[in-house]
Amino acid sequence: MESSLADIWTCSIARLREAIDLAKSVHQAIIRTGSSIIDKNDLRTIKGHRIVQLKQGPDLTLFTHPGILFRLGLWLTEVLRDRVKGVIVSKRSKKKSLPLILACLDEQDRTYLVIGLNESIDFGDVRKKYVLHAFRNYGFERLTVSQ
Amino acid sequence: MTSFGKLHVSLAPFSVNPPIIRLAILGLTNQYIQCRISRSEYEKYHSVYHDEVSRLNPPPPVGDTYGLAATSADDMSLRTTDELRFELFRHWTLYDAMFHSSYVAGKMGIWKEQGRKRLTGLLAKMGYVHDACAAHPSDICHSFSIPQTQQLYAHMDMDLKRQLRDKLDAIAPEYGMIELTYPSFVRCYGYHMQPLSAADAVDALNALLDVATGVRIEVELDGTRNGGEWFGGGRVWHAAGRWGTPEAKATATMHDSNQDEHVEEARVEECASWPVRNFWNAFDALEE
Repeated sequence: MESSLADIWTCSIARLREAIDLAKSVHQAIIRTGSSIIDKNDLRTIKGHRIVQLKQGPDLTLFTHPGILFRLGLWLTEVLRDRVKGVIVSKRSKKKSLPLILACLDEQDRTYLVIGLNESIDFGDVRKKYVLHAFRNYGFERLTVSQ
Repeated sequence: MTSFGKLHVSLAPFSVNPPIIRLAILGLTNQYIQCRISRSEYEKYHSVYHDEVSRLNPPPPVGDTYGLAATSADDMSLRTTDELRFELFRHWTLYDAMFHSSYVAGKMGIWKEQGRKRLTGLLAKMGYVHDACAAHPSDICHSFSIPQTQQLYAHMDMDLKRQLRDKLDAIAPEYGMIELTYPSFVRCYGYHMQPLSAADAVDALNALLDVATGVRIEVELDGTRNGGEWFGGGRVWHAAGRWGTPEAKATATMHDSNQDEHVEEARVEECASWPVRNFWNAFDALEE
């Protein structure tokens, strides 16, 4: 009994160690794609909203996973924070934030995975989400929302 | 992801035994590094867990306030530390950890050649790279000397590890990096591996949740840089175990008819979609 418990324990450690390698690969992909987005000026600005459309690249399939695309969004927000002006998106509060919309092409399904972030312009602060409303404004007419 | 993040709130009232505290800390850290809660909110919960961790674990060894190493093979304790905003820096090279950290990337402008030079310049000022090599770390100068920053953290000199914080504190403000650390926790894993900080664990678990199966991804092998092998090689990630990457196999047909249940089970496992597999992969990694 004891040995099997020990097995599970070392197994979970081994798994964590492997997962760290996996996490590194994810980081590398995010940096690769993020850098190329900024380098090539793929960030379009419409009414203060930054919009990124991912259509090609070595890691395209990876970014069709919502979690990874979200991480890319976080990375971009973090990097842009000191470099761009924030906008006031909410009608109620006058705080500035940095809305960002990312769309990634899923080549198999011919669909786009779209996520929106509304991060604070200050580090360590949060803003309310308001994304759906923004999507409608920018012409995403037929929108399937998957939770 | 989200559900994982909400964990800390739901667990807060029961945070009395170590495994639950560990999970709660992971949930809290996840929310903080993904910018879902503000710093003040983070600190509110952090102080609660800080007290609990200090109460339930032996005090950290003298001279090792940064969670540098486990004290013995059985040291599985949780410790409170100030963590650097570098990604996985205990498990990577210092250069890579800084390069891939979004905080450093933002301050340095890492996507440009100039930004990468600034980062190498910073490391040179700290005395970790010879100035002659400071042009670009992946350049040819490696064949003459392997700077400490290009070594896995685990292989760095102990002295350098100890001085790291002081040197960073002295030099990083020049580059506009003033909030380089935040209060967090590390967990020791005996001699199995380097201590794992809460943010590292969250990172690893998120990677499992997102891409453990369902997508082809290559991971770098340790020691393949700096001429360790012929080329900087990688291998295709393959999740092992019960919920690993599905293979094209026809084992189900080979079972006898009286093993119907087994077949059924195998089929269920094969049909499980990638989010389900990834969830169980991450779950197994969390197992005590």
